[in-house]
Amino acid sequence: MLITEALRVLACLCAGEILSGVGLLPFPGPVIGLVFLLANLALIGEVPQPLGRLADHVLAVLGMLFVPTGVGLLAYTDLLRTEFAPIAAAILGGTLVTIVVTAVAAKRLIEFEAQKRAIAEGEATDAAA
Amino acid sequence: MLPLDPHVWHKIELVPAIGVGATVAAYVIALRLQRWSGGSAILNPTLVAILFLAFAVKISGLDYADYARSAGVVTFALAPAVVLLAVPLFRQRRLIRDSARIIVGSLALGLPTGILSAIGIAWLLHADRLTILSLAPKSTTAGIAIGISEKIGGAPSLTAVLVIMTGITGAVIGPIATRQLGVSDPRAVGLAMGIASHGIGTARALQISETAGAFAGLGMSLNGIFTAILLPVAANLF
Repeated sequence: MLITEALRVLACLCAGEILSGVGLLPFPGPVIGLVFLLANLALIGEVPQPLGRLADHVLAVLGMLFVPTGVGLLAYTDLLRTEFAPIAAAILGGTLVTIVVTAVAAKRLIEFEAQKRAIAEGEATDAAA
Repeated sequence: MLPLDPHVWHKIELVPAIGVGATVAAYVIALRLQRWSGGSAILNPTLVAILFLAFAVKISGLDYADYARSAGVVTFALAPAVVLLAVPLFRQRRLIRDSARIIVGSLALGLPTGILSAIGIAWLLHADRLTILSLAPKSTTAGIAIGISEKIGGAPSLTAVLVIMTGITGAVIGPIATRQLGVSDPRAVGLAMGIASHGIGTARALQISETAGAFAGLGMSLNGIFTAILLPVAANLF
């Protein structure tokens, strides 16, 4: 049932917010809740259908849910003006560097895995021969 | 008679229906605008909706706090939505198992690079402490980044906007940069775009191929979770 699945999500969220709120864990409550839900799903072994539908519907409008928080940038227009250069440089430079480093790392790892597999397969054929 | 008394108006503005309605309306218009533009990454619906509403709040002479309270339900919904990110992540468990080494390795390099490059550049250019703390979680998905920003003493509103700018930047330069580098494997392109530029990068990666989109989604979720775990701990040390 949809409401049961909503309760599952809210229970994970509440547990996360409590652990985060009392300072037991320094992480944001919703992220702790995410890990709880992940653990819960691992126990069940599959995504219950209503939960899957709920997630699809909610995550489809995820981009809308932080609009009100974003409007709060009104309070930072002065900061955005005075710090425009470091912010723009950090975003442009930082994102470019991150993409380059991650893409090259991933490419190397993929090549390495392929090589290892080729060697393993070669040994398998050698053994068969 | 129409009550034009400003006090009456002020009470109406605080009703949730107005704040929520305005938010949804702005987002729907922004979505239409993006579709009409043929899916331009720069006309990101979240950013456009934020600018619309910021403009509306400013010219109407409203307090941001009043709007935020009135639209509070939308903001609250972000918390369970972050929890629900577990569902797409769990659905991809087979992909994670099959490509564990590639994913873990890319994340081990990409995650710290994302944080350190941004705060390093900002620090070198003498940015304010608040700016640096708000920038630190910029590569994670906004729902998670806002929570991290709160935990480490940044400004969540500023973080929300910086996260979107990062996403747009990654979506625009990601395909170009990876092509220049000679990286063509969709798994590598996807991981780079998801880890560097979260959901907006993931949406762009999905246009490249389904595999690129799947790996971008994985990169985004795992980067979000591990940044949320590492950054507050690291911030406590300094």
